[in-house]
Amino acid sequence: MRKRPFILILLLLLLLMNMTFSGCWNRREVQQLSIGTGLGIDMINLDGKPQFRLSVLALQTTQPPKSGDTSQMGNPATAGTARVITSQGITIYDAVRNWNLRSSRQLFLGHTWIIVLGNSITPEGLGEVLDFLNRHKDIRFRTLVVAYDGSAQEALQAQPEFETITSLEIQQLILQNGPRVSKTGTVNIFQMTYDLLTPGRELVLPRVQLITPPESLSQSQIGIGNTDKNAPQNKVVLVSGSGVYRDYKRVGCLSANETQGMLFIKNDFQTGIIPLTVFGQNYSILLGKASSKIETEYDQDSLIINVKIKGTGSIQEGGSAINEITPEHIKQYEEALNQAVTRICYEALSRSKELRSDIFGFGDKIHRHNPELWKNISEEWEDIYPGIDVNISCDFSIEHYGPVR
Amino acid sequence: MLDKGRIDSIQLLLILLMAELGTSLFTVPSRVIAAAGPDSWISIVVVSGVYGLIVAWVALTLSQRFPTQVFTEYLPDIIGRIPGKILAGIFAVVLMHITSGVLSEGSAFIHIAFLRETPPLLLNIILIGAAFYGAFLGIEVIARHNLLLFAFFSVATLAVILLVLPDINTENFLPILEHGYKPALLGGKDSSAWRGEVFLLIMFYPYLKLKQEASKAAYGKVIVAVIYSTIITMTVIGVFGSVVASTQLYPVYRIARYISIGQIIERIDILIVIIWVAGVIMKLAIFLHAAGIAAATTMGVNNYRWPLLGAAVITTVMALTFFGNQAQSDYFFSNIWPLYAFSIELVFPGIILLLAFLLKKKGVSEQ
Repeated sequence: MRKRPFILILLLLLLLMNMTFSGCWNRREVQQLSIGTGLGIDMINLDGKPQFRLSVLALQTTQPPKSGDTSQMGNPATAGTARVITSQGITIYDAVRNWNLRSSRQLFLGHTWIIVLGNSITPEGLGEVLDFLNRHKDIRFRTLVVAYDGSAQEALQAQPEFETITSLEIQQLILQNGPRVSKTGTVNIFQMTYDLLTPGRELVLPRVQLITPPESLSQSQIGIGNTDKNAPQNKVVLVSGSGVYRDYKRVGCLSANETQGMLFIKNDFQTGIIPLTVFGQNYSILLGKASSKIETEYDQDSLIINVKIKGTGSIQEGGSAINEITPEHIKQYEEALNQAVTRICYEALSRSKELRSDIFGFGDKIHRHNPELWKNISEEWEDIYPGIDVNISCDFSIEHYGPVR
Repeated sequence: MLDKGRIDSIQLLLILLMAELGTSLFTVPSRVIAAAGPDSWISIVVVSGVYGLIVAWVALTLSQRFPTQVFTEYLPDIIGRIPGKILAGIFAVVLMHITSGVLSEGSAFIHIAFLRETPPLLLNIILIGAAFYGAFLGIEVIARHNLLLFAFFSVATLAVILLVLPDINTENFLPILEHGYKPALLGGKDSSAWRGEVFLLIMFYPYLKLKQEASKAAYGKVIVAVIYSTIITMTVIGVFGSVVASTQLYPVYRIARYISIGQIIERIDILIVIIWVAGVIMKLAIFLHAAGIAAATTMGVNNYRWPLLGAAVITTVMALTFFGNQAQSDYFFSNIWPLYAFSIELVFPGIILLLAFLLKKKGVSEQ
């Protein structure tokens, strides 16, 4: 009999535990949520005041079936359509909450895949974006950030070609296929925070572009009720090149090749094709992971930065399969390859000097390896940077040339 | 001795260890990094390590003079009945105050990082309720539960560190001593305040079965704590760099959120939340037990369980009044706590030890 009250208390506790299953305090049911998969941030002038415009590519998790139509129920093709909904606010969070004026569903940002920054964002605005992305409790550091030369709203409205949602398409373009060409970087919120806050580094964001698909026949997914060829709904996305910032300010962009050069120097090059012309014929060299080493040299008053790039490649496509490739030929191919990569790197370098933006983080390198020197030059680094000497040398080897001679 | 439980030296070591790491492993790195940058390892190893060993020595020497009593019991024997009782009472309140600080830290993390709309009072009650139950059951229960928890705690921490290894950039550990030794040594004050929590030995020494193993537990705790916090702090710096890491309040939670292995192993940050809640409850139970015993011995009652309940209630109220909002508790932990901890961990027991030595006071030995 002594055990009786104990068991009763245990049962009571078990019953009480039930209450906590749905969450601790309030509830957010999935059918009341709208999941934001992509965020576009623009700045607009409204009533003479700069305001943020937030475009959310929101996923409707469950769509009520049309009355009488039972065939569509549970069909994954109709479930989960995404649409862009915009809202304005003086601050970004103001815009996030103003979103609820228009939408009947709560916005959930824990699954945001990409953040698109429009070119209207001012330096102060970028600071606010940085703070918002860091402070928000749901948005993760892994979320990708991209730049778009226009309003971010348009970029999110583009038609996806392979995935169901544009934001997923952009994410996969960068994460999965980006390393296969290495002509665009991968920047997530952490990387953006790191580049903006660390002295001697500058932010470089991958650039999203909208194009009208040249293959007119494939336009099967034309936006409904929209016949305007230039409407973003009739365009598709392309990620190529990058947008360059200097101290929170957008100063210009790098072309796809210049971005590749930047990736070589920053040790971020994954794989990619380098086209060569040797013996008057074109060859494609597939490069594997290249590694770079940056060393700073300083004596008296001249600052020299040495960049050494190493890697291996293989011939994937030759001018003619009949040409026999001998060890001497390989030497020449390697020579041409080294020259080609060096040229690409110098192109990126001269472009960044033009923009006066230290996109390679040479300043950071000096800071870490020679803090005494950095103390003296950090104030004027922006002016010193275009004048520094950078020596780039490449040492690539070609390992094989496939199953033909 | 009010608690009849007996523990061995490993259990004592882990109790003292968890009484610190429960919160310090997750909250202290950002404070140290903000002060010392990439040189945080110097702060932790040199400053907090030496300080911790000194505190451990003082607590150990003092306890060895009175092997069968807790601190608040022999305090009146050393400095006289009336001042002794007053100081013991203050000591009990200070222990409750520290407990309330732990409680507010514990619920603040849950409140800020994910349960935004749950009132902190509710979180406080849940945490202190579990801790009270543990302390109520006595030191042996705490010790055994702690063994289990420590294994899980270590495995989870290790898992987070291993999974985030690919993201470590060794450049982030440079430059070494950019601004000289001063910031590195100053950064040690934050780390030290927590490392000195080994002073709780003066409240737990009598429960130890084999007294000759006490030094192993005390010094071992400091060394293990230094190793743990150095590894986790340097992991944070390696992944985020000292600049970004110092802007984060809970950088360890952030690195757990950052884990992504091939887009498959992701979102394991809940692991950190679990060991945070478990660690905080453990830490609370240990501090609450010490506070309850201190209050009971001061009042001279035979049962420590009612004073323990009082301590739990007072702690909950204190957590809301003294650490009402994030700015208040942040201010306390970064500006007041290092000095406060220094005086309560080292200065106070040190003076008592000195008095006991000069007045030739000694407690009865076990036999």
